[in-house]
Amino acid sequence: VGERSLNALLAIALVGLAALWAVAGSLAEVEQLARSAWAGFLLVVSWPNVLYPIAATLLAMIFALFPGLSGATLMALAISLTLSWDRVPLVLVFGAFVGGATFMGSVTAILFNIPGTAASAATLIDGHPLARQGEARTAIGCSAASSALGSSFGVLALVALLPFLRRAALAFGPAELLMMTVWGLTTIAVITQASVVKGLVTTGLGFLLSFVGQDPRTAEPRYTLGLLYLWEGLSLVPIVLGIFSVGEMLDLATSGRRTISGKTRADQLSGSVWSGARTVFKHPGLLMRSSAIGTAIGIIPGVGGTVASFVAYAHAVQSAGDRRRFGRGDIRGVIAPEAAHDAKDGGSLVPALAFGIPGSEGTALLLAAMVLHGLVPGKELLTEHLDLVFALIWSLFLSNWLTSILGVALVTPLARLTVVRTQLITPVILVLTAVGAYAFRNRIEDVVVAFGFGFVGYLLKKHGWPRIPFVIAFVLGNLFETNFLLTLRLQSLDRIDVFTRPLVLILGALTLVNLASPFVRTRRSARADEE
Amino acid sequence: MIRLDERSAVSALLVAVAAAFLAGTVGLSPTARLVPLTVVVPTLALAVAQLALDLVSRFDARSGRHDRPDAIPSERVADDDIAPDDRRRHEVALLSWLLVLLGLLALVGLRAALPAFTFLFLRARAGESAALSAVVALVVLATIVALLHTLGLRDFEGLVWSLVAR
Repeated sequence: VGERSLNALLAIALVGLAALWAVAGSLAEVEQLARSAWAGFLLVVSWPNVLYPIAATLLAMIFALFPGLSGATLMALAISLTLSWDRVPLVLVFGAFVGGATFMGSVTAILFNIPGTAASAATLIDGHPLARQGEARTAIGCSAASSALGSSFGVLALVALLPFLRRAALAFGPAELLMMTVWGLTTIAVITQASVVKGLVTTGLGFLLSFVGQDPRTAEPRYTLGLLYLWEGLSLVPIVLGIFSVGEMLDLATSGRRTISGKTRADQLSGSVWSGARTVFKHPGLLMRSSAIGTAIGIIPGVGGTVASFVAYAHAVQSAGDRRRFGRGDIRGVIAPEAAHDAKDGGSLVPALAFGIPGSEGTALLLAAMVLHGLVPGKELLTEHLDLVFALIWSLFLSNWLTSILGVALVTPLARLTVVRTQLITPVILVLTAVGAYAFRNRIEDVVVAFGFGFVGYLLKKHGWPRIPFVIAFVLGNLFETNFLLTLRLQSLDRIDVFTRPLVLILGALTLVNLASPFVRTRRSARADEE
Repeated sequence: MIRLDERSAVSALLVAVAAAFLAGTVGLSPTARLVPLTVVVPTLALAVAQLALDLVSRFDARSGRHDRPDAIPSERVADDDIAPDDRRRHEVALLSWLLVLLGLLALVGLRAALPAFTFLFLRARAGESAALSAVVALVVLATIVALLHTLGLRDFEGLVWSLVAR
C-alpha cells in the first residue's frame, strides 16, 4: 500500500470521527466540553499555577537523564510528598511528569544507545546511527519536533474521543488484549533484526524471565532457585539498565572508537537542529499516521506505550519506498517512533480516566495520586470534574512542548557529549547505572543483576541477537499471562468464542502477516535476483 | 561441516537457558506451569533451530544464505576497525573492571566504591591525569550523596564498614 493511499485512509478515518461527533455528540455536550476545556486552560495558565507544570517538567527532564530513573520513579516519590496538596496543583504536576520524562529518554537513546524507557528503544534504531555519523543535532531536533507535534495530535484526539471513551475501550476484552500483545511482539521481533528466529527466541526468553517469582494465582514460587530475592520476580529497571546501559558501554569501550561520533571536536559535527526539525515537515503524512498509530495503541490498556513506537517504526519501514537506510540512520526512523511515543500519552489517558485502567506505569501512578485525592476515574470524574481533567490534559500538552523547546535549546551541549572520549564516558555511565539500579528498590542485588544482564546484553548485541524484543516481552509478560489465562477460562466456560470475535481475528491475521512477511520478501527478492 | 565458534557458543548458551526454564517447570502445579510451558517449548525449539543454523557451515552468515535482504540491521556490532584479538583483549580488561566495581561495592559500599572506581578507571585504564580523575570522582561522589539524600535511600555499607561497626 503506497504512502498516498495510507494518507487518504487516515483522512477518511478523521472525517469519520468528525461525522461520528456530528451524529452522536449533542450540542449541549459540545458546549460542556468547550467550557471545561477553557476552564482547564485558565487553571493551567493562571499565576502561580503555571509554575507547577514548568517546574515538574524540568524535574522530570533532569531525572530522565539518569539511567534507570524515569518519570515513573519521580511520580512514585512525589505521591507521598503531595498528599497534603490541593487537587489542582496535583493534577498539574502529575500531568507534567507523564509528559516530561519521555523526550529525555529519547535523547539518551540517540546519544548513547541507552533508551530512558522501554518505549524509547525504537528511537535508538535510527537515532543512534545518526549520532554516530555526527548528526546528533539533526536527530534530536527531529525528535523534538516529532514529539511536540505527535503529543499535540494525541491530546487533540483525546479531547475528540472523550464522549466516546466508554464504548471504544469496552471493545477490548482479554482475548483482544492477548492478541494485541502477541501482534505487538511479533511486529517487534520481525522488524528489529535480520533473523526472525533470533527475534522470536529473545521474545520467548523475555517472557520466561517475566514469569520468575510467585505465580499470580497460586502464589507458588517459579524459577526462584531457592533465592528469596527472586520471590518478588525480577524488576524491569536493572534489566533494562544492564541490557542497554552496561551492554552498550561494554560495546563502546571495546570497539576501539575514541568517541561516539568518531569526531574529536564539536565543530566537526554536522547537521543542525533546524534541519532536523525541518525534515519532520517534509514527511507530514508519516508524522500524522504515526501519531494516529500512537494514539490508537495508547488507548489500549496496558499494551499502549511500549508497543506504539515499534508499530509506528514498522509502519515507517513498510510504507517507505526505499528501505535501505533504515537501521543505518534514516531520519524517518526517528520521526515515526517519536511521534507515536508522545501521541500515546494522550491516548493512554483515555482508559485511565474512563475506567481507572492505566495504559502505562506512569498513568498507573497518576491514577494512584488522583485516587488518594478523591478523584476516582469514571463517570463522575468525566462529568463533575471535567475542568480538572482538562487541566491535566493541558498540563501534559504544555510539558510535551516545553520538553521539546528545552531539548532544542540544549541540543548543542547535548550533542557535544558525542565527542567526549569514550574512556571518560564509560566509568561515569557504569557508576550511574549502579546508582540507578540501587536507587530503584534500595537493593544491592539489583546492581549485581544489572551488571550480569549487561554482560548478556553485550553478548547478544555482538552476535546479532536482538535485545529490544527481549525487553519488551519482559515488560508485557504479566499482561500476556493474565490475558492468556482469562481467555482460556472464558472460552472453557463458553462465555466467549475467540474465533468469532472480529478484533481477535484481525489481530491474528496481522500476526500471521508479520511472521510470513520476511519469508515472502526473501522469496521475492531471490526471484528478482534470478531474473 | 560443523563449525564451533563464539557465535555458536552464545546460541548454545541460549538453548541451555531455555532448557533450564523447561526443566524448571517440572514439579510446578499444572496451573503454575501452563503459561511458561506454552512459551518455553516453542522458544526451545527455535533456539535449537538457530543453533543448528549456526553450526552448519552452509548456513554461515558469511554466505548470506539466510540473511533477509530487507532486514533492518538495527543492532549491528559497532562498525569499528579494531582487530578481533585487540577486541578480545579489551573485553577481558573491561570485564575485569566490572568485577573490580562489584568487588569494591561488596567491600566498601556505594558511597566509597563508586568514586574510587571512577578514579581508578580514569587513572589506570583511560590514562587521565590525577587531577581530572579526582575531579570526576568528586562529582560522582556529590551526585551519589545528593541522590541518596533526595530519594531518602539507605546507603549500602559494604562488608568492611559493617565489620568495623561491629
